[in-house]
Amino acid sequence: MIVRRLLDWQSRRRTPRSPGLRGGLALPRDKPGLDRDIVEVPLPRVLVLPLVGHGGRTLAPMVAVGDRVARGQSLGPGLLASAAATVTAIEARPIAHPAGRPAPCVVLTTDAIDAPDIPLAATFPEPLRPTLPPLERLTRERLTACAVTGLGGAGFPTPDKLVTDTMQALVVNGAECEPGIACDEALMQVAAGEIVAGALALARLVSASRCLLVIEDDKVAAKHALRAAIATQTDGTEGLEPRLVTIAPRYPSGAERLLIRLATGIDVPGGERPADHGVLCVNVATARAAHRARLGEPLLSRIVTVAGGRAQAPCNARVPFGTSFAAVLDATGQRPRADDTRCRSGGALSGFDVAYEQVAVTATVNRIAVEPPLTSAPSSPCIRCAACSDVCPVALLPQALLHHARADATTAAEGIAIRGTSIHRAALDRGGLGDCLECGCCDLVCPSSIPLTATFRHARGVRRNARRNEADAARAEDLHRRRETRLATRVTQAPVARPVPSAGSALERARARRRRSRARENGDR
Amino acid sequence: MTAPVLDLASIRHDRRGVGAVMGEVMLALIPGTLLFAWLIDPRVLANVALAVLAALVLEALVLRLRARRIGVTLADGSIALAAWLLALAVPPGLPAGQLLVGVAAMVLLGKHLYGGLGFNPFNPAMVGYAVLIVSFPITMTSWPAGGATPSPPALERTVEHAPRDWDALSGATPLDRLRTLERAPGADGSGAIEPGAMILSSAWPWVNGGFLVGGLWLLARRVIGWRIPAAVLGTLGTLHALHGLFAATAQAPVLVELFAGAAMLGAFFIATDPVSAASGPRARLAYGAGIGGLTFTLREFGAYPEGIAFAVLLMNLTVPLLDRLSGAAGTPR
Repeated sequence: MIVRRLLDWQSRRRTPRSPGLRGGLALPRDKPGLDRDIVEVPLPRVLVLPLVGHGGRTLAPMVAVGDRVARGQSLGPGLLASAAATVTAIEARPIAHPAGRPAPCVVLTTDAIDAPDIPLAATFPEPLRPTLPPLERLTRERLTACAVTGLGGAGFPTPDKLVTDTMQALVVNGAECEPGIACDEALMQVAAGEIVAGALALARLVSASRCLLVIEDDKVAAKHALRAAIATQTDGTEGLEPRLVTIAPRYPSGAERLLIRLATGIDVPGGERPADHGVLCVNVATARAAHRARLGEPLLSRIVTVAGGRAQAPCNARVPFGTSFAAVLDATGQRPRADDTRCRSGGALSGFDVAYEQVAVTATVNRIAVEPPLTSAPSSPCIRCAACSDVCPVALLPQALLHHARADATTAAEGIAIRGTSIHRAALDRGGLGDCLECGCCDLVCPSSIPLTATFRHARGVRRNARRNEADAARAEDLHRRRETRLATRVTQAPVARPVPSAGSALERARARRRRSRARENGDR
Repeated sequence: MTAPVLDLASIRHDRRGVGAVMGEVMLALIPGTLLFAWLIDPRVLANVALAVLAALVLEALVLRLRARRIGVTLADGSIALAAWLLALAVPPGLPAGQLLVGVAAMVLLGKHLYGGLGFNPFNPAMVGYAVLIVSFPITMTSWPAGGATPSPPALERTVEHAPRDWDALSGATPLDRLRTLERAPGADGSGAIEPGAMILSSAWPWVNGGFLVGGLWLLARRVIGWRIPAAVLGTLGTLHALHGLFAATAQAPVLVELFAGAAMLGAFFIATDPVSAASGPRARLAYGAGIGGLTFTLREFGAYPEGIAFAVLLMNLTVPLLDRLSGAAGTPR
């Protein structure tokens, strides 16, 4: 009884009471390149477009080597050609991904650059601009056709977010709380009108009764631009007043779940989609892309912040998808680069280092940074100071999670917990590892310099794999059982002397099949 | 681990390392220590120096035996801080040999037996203190009678009250003396003592004030949290107030009790040791309250004159339970 009540005490601790941001850090404002105009990166000779969908799915190509493609033509489901070009290869290339593994890509050669005198229209019979007419009202089909994708960093396809037709609120995320990234702020300064128009179009599409544009208080110019745009917006505002919500600058208030709570007070638990709670949350750049889609223009480029400790000319640049990091860096004047320069995709906290400068810009790349080699302080033992749990914005206990993650890694390495049922894995699940935003706040305050976030990322990957393996094993077991039932009924019908395979041999065959298919995949590359 | 790492170096955010944290705590100890040396006994400075030096040497030896990095570990300052706290907790006149026994117990039993920094379940300085007080009860309870401050007239009675053959006034801290003082008038019926005179006449409230200033500075610098000190002092004060209301004999005012003995040192510097304290917010409140309650109990009803040390050690025992109940389960212990 007492124990039950005390455990309730524990679970209450997890439910946030006020809509204010708990924890987090007030990091100094560092927004590079806002003093300059947005740099237009010219179309490069070669574009590399990964055939990788959200969540790492491999997409089937819809073109063949040698095909000529028009600007905006589909190369695969949800993947458009950024420019009129010729398909020169479909092959595995390194992509901008934390694991650094190659993935199948469509390689386009924009041969118009070879002959700048010839107008592009003469080189290609296809129209340079897709012939989509402007729409009175945005549709889901139009978003799909224009490949509108989340530009905040996760790259979630926007049409997939529209799971219901009626939502309570649209939240447009202009928080951009991470230091070093300014692409959204640069966009808000120059394209506030389009953002507001896109927000209204999306709000109408999901029949949202509220349309909230959220921005951090310290983005003064962008805030004024948005306010002015809202004031002058007349089209489509009947019965739906877009509202500007300013929040205190605090990292990581721009994280989707936290932002929704700050803006609407609606609490979206980890692992659930905002749409399930009647909220559609999109980035400001996504809202603008929706507006452009309504006008008939597909999403073929994005604004990328080019910065870092070794950047000679930090700026924000409009980059066609498929342009290599190296081309962006060259075009924006970040050269020469020292041999030991490290290239990073995304922010210092949310991003990851890329091994090759040849990887291509995709919708998820919000920042390209050139940095000196990474220096990390050697970590010392945890002194249980709880600074990490004090700053955790989702009320986790990083020091406890660290203990379980390390213990789980050890037991797994020693072969103790093969089926993923160890107490440490259970503790990680119970402790909310799945809720972790990987924001890095705990790393920033840890006096012992423990790489907490890296450990949690790794542990999450291990848990995902373990869960997938468990699901696979369960499916195999089910198939085997059904087969045995089938065989048994056949035996009763016609007695055929046939050995009934055991579960062990079925597993063995499943493994062999997987080996074969993997070998096939590798051979394809 | 090959997982991608955060680029912390390119974020402008001042991060305090363990060494910096311990360094700030040691800075905060300076005012209280100097007042201690000035008003009570300057030998405390020699004790601090000896204890810190001995602890560093001993820890270096242990680290060498355990084949660990010596320089980095010594530089984190944790053992120096613990030694400093131990030297403040023992009587200034303690023979050097006995102090060294305490330091050895602190380093070996208190810290490295469990695996060094971060893994010790008990506050190392209090382990050293506990070993000393059970090993050398006479020298460990022989405190100077108040150093340079003039003795209040009432002190004579107290001394009469004490055994004749002792050459120093006994008591872990003058708290014990205050207690005796309080009871004496009731016994011979000669009336109450002026509390104000009592406070100003003793050096201890001033020393406690020094530690309070250091502790408040640590709070302001966010080196320590408010929960543990507030819970310790709040519980201690409340219980003393209740006791004052209901006890038959006259009691010292609550403020006097809070500024007596090792209350401030314990609340701000000893109970807040992060390694051996509870880590969840509610667990910290409970932990602090437990220390306050046990200190009161040991002070009023225990055989030992000051209760902070045993209160801290006993509450250290409850930390895994407190952490578990407050949701911080699985914290490495």
